[in-house]
Amino acid sequence: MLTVSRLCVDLGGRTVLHGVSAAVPTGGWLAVVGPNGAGKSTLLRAVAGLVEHRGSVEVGGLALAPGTDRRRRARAVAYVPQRSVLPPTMTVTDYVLLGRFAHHSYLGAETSRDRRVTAAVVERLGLAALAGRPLGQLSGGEGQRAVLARALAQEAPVLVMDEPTTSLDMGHSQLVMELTDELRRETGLTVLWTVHDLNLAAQYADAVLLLHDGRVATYGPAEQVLHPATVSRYFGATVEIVAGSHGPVVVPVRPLPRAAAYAGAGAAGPGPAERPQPNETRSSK
Amino acid sequence: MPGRLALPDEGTALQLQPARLRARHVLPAVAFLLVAATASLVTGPAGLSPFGVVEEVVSKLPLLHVHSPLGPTGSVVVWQLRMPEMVLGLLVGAVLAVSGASYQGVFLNPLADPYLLGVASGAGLGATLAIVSGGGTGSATSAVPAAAFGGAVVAVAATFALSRSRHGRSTASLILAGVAVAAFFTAVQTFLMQEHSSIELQAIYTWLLGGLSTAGWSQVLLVLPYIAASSAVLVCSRRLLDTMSVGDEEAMALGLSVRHARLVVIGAATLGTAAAVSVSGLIGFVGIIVPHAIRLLAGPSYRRLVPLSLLYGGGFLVLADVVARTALSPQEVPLGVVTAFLGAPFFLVVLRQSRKLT
Ligand SMILES: Nc1ncnc2c1ncn2[C@@H]1O[C@H](COP(=O)(O)OP(=O)(O)OP(=O)(O)O)[C@@H](O)[C@H]1O
Ligand SMILES: [Mg+2]
Repeated sequence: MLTVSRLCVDLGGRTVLHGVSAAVPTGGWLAVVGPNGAGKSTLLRAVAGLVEHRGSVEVGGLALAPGTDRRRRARAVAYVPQRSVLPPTMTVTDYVLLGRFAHHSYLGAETSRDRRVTAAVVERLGLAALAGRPLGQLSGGEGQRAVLARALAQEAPVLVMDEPTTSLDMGHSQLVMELTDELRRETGLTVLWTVHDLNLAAQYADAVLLLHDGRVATYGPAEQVLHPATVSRYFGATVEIVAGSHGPVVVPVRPLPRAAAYAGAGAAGPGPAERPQPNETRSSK
Repeated sequence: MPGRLALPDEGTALQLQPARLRARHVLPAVAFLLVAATASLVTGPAGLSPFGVVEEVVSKLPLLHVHSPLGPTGSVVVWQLRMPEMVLGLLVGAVLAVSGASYQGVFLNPLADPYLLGVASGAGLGATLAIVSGGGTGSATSAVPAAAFGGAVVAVAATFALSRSRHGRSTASLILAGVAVAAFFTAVQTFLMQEHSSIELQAIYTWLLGGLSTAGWSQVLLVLPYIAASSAVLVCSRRLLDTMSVGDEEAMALGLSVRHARLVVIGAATLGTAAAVSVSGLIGFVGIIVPHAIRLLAGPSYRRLVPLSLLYGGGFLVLADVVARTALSPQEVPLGVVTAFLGAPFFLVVLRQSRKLT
């Protein structure tokens, strides 16, 4: 169970998050969506204890205050950042093993269980053939899976992922999502996840939180949150929503030209400049 | 405590090979060290036969009952002159290399060396002050180690104090503060030097260029506690350095208190380096070339790099000292000149190699 209440974050002298609250039950999956700069990454970093914040973060009844011991926190929350630093000469094995840092003794070596967990994760993420490869020789998507493997090796009950699927192909993106879903059903993993692909959000998460300018715009089941009007208002995009077998499917479509633009246009057809701009769409709603 | 996610860890046949220090890494390093130590003991001006020296050393080992062919004078040369110089070389080389490796890990910068935060300029100023205030006399030179050590510690403390900005302390601000402090201390030192006579200048230059030649057991004993403690802390921290290589934020997410670990590592490396330069002067390049050469041999993991740096660093400096003593014999080349002379071309080779590797 992850509870975030009235979270406020100031960055560079300005408030980036204004009192965000959310609760994800054990085994639940919350997708955080919103336009660029809405504060999604900041929310996740606050949950992982990486930025100073006001308000509270709780995992399974344990309050993770800003001064909480890092190792203890790492056993409660695993974090996959939006952009990871991959030391180019480190092997995939050594990298994934870093996820066990909070489990073995502070200065000591990893135990055989640490190695077994690492091997299990490496295998499940399809990295077995790459285990001995330096990170600098991986493709973007392979690297991203290595980062995810490292986070899963942490065996924390809460997994926080910042756009983990952006550089994955369709198949691997599905693989990662299915694996996460399996883990949450098998082990009660609680997932907090940001994503730009609203379809993925709708298909996998039990709830969607739409963040806009550091505030919760709407929050609830995907069917409630994802409306053409909402998407148009906050993303400035025109979409149609179709009912799919695993939740709503969001299909971006070309915006309808405004009737007024045709009326007095005469011989000249509607040029690109006359298409409604996102802002205009937003203001017209 | 929140519930723990237990991953099913059974049923995978996959055997991973994490980086670990193995006999095949350690044995060559130990062999190198022994070769260097032997070479150092058997070379020197007293005209002792190499085999005699070896038998003299072996005769002191228990249970072997070897009889030494050397007379009392030869024995004194081996035990009171050559042995302390060799041991000091081992200690200084080991701590410079291991500090260099640690600085590179903490700053995530392959060009970091043990003098990055002002150790060298601080020690230089300290030594200069001691020499000029004593007018180049014997009492002044005996004060040099303490003054150099104090100067080095003050310089690094100043770097730390100056690097704190409103947003805390980043590695970049530490490096920049180190540059400023080094420039300032060097300026004061240069000013002092041009105010004084050539006798003192000679003494200062000799110290700056580095060397082990005035060594006796007293100097070894003087620095041993610092170097041993510093090396022990750094060897214990080798896994923390591996964790730091993913950057501050991710290392924190993995459970490492980065600020605390960085402070411990920098503190240990600084104390060890300050102790080393206080008796040996400024010997450059060891802290960069040794760790990089080991990376080529044994890979980037600090679990291997840190302990191997101790062994190879010690051996390397002892060999460099042999070259310094014999290359232009009977004249002695300053040790700092030898390490730079060997180090610079070697460094270029490493650079070309590593470009091929990545
Ligand atoms: N270190 C910082 N200092 C000042 N402002 C920051 C800092 N980091 C982020 N911001 C600002 O905070 C706001 C939220 O950033 P955040 O990274 O959380 O957005 P996001 O929703 O993750 O966006 P994206 O979809 O582009 O990843 C942005 O306006 C950003 O410019
Ligand atoms: Mg983001």
